[in-house]
Amino acid sequence: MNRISFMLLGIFAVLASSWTGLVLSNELTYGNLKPYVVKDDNKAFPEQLPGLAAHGKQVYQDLGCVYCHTQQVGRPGISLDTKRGWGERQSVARDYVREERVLLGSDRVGPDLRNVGARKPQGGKAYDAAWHFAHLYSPETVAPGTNMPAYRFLFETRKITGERSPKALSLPAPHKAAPGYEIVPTERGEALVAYLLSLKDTFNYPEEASKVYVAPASSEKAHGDAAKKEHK
Amino acid sequence: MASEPTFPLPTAASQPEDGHYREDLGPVDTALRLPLTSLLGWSALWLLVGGILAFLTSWKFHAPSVLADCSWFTYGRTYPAASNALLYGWGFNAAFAIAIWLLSRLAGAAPRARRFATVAVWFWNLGVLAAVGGLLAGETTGVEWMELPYFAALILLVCFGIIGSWAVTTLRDRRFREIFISQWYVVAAFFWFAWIFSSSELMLVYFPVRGTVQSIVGAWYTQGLFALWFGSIALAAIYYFLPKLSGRPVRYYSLSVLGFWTYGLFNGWLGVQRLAGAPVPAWVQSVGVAMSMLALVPLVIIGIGLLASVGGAMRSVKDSVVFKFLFFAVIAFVVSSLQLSLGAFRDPSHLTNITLIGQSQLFLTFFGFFSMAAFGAAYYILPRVARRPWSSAAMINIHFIATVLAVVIIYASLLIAGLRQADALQNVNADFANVVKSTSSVLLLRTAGYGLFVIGQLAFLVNVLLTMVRLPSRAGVEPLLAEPPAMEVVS
Repeated sequence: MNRISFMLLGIFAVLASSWTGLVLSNELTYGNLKPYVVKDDNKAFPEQLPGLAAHGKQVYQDLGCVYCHTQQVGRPGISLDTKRGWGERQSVARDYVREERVLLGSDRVGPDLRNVGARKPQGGKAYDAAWHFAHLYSPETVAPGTNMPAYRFLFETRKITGERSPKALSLPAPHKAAPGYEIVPTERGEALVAYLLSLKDTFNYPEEASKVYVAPASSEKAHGDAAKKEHK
Repeated sequence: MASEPTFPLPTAASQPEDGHYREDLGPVDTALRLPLTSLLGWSALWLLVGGILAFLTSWKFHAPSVLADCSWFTYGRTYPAASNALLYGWGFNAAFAIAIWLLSRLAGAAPRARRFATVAVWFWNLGVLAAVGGLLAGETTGVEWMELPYFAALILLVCFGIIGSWAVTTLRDRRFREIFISQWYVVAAFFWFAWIFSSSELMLVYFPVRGTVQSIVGAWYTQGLFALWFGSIALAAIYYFLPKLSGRPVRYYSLSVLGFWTYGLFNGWLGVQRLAGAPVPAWVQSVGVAMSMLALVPLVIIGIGLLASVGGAMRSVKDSVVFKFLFFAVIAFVVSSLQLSLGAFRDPSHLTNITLIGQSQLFLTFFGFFSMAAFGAAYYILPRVARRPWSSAAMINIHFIATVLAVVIIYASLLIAGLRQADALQNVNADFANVVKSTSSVLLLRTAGYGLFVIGQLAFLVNVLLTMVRLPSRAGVEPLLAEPPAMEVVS
């Protein structure tokens, strides 16, 4: 064998090792991970996104939300994500099996959004659809100090004909629509908020609960025990 | 290793093409004029476009209302448009130019069918245009560093195949038997990236795999793109030009082959290091950490050889503009590789793996290491293929100073902002606005850096275009016949 073929063979082998070892092996071992079916309920988790939310995911993707927002909750004990209230448990691979595009993200310029649909009210504000619409239209009014851009193009300002739309935003002074006008989300805006509200990994998979993560119940118990000990 | 080996090693210097047993390679350079001027012209153009988009993106980070009302220019769209213009526009055109020129020079013959290859080059750039336009319009794959929409990716895949196989034919038709280390790197880069690109596109875009296997493929692609493609081409250029400029062989050349194999092997595995803490199997994360340590092997082998060679060349050619850029590239190679390896040790990575620190490392790899080596190479190559000296020496200086300052400022601001961000993320009770505040003020500096960057690249583009279109003058004849380093210096 001459030197060139030897060289090309080596070049092939070098990359084949990582392609086989990382790409192929993972695809074969957990590339067909299935949703978990709860027989009594006739439900499978993670659940399929409803139509509007699925469209909203497209909007999330094409507006590049992923460059500032991650969608992965770290393991309690190593990461502080659960303490921050970004989720009740760590994210596991099965959470993502229904997603056409997994958007884990690589930078936390903004908060993690994996469980934004299940976020608990804080300081009297509930993170509901109205909050998200106001946040998208004018981030500063509901999240002081943010550097998130406004997404006004997901809304339209239109003349009120007849009754005011139930979807119209109620915003504080500087952003309020002129008298006789109202600000309503476009279809893309509504879809995006539907997607955001659908983001919640609240189901505990039995297999992962025993193998991968510490289930919230047992960890709470452990915390409770520790607290009791401190009390004594 | 106190004394240099006396037997002739296959180095660019000990086998000088300008020497008595390799005849003048001017005809090879001239033959490449059409494809190479196309590549260098396009690369400089994309560099300016990408630089402006990056400047805009950086500005919007601390002034979110800038151009916010138009969906085409929202932060989340200018970001991938900038990175794709820079990677696939500037990076690939420049890398192709260097690769083709190095292979032809070292083979002693230019590949045939140059018009056909030039058509592929123009189609490649059409593909990049479709990608950048598509991204601004909202067509994205959503895979970081591979956002280019499927239709653009298809064009690029085909063109990469054509340009790559065309360039590699030089190996078959070569007149000089020895194969120098630069040829290894270039041939491997073409082969590796063809595989990485096609397999990632297939597994992520055309037939997407399920769940977080996507993230593993994405991480493998990222490291493949930055290290196995851009890094290999940059190393090829450095291994060629250092001995060429200084007239001495690369130090510890015999070890560089070992460096090559370990570099290729470990960088294939290294990418998953970026997935520390992500919902992927635990063993994958452990592999990432193990590979980060193993990646120190090629770093030490290649790094020491290059640093010693740079040190040796310093005295004789420190005024050469090509050398100045290469010097910076070698330092950036060592620093960025070290940052990647050291950043992987468990504790720091859990604090830092999803902050701007990761971005700072990729930035330094692409702009400090690859782009600086590419600028150095372009300053050597363009006057030889265009058969004209550089149009303006002042613009070369502006370009060098502005680029070096910009890269240092942007890297430092990303690193400092990332450290502050990691710190702020530790305070779970404070409002998230706290994290925003920790980065925004520092990233003002980044915007200033990109401003400087754009000025530098404007000078580069103007100089490249003027050099290509200016009619050969009498004054231009003399530098053409001058010794290599003298040709970059024009009056």
